[in-house]
Amino acid sequence: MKKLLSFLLILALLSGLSVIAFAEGESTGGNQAVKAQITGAPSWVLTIPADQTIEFMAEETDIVHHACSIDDPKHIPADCTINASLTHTGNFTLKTDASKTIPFTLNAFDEDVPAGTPVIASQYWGDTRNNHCYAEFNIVISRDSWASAEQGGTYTTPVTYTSELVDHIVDPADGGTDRG
Amino acid sequence: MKKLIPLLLALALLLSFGSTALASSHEYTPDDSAKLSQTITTVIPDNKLTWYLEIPADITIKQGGYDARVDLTNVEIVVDSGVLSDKQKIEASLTYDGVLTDEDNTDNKINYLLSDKNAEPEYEETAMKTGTAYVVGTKTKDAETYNAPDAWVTEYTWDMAEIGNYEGTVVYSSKLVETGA
Repeated sequence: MKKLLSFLLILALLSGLSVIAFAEGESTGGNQAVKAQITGAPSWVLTIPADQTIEFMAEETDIVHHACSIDDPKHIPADCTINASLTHTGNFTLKTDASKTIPFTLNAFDEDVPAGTPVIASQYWGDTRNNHCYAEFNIVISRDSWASAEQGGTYTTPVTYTSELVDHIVDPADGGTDRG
Repeated sequence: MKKLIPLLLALALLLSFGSTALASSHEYTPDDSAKLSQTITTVIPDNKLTWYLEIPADITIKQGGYDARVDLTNVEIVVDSGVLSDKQKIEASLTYDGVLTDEDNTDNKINYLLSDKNAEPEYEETAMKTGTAYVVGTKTKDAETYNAPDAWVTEYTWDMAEIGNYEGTVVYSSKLVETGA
């Protein structure tokens, strides 16, 4: 029985080889495999820095501390960038009276960011799978601004973050930022 | 009792987390434009009084006799925030050791004195004593007065000095004084 099985296996192997040899010699066409992989929609998680308190009379305070991150990127095309940006209002407002304010400036990369203008805080590059959070975001309150506060109390300001998928790799020259 | 201890530990852990501001997160897709907000807070105390002292720039005393006199004006008390009450004043004062030391040879020294501008500079009896704080500026709720001194060097000291570059330091300070008036 064992001998019979061995014979049949050898026979099958030989016939297979002959078919391949025949196909190479005589075929004028063939089948092309077309494959598709369904990967799902892109998604990512943006985490922003915690709420923060600034000490009275502090002139410069970092509000980001490397804590703005883009995590868990899924199905991000290689030619795309995820940008996370922040905007600010330029004023602290007294909780009990919105007409009482303290002006401030936001300093990023040693330049002032105008109120209402988005500035990139974190980026994920699809081509390199690199994730980078920029850290130099300082709220600057001058002595004159502190002194201008008409009334004691609790003042707050919102810093608003959002993110988007951009369908190209952001050129640092365009974005004014560097991947370093 | 054994079951109660882990429960209390868990509760303590939860409370400790609760006292810390947490970062917030959001899962985005390409058509999502959600906005996340970080709140920055500062508390300004009621009538918190702060001030700073503007002091004169560094000076160079010209060598020789009475020409060595230099005016030390430009002390100024500047209130940053808050308001002085009727019973408060800010005083600025200076102290000095009266010695200029050769930068290259600390054994070489020149003695100098500060005097009230209204006093005769050549008399050591009227000069400010070294090591003693002298009030050179006062600011009250409604007024401020300054009495910056002159610096001068006695002719005797000049004659004895070795050639060199000499430096000394005048130290300024300020404080809030409750007058009780």
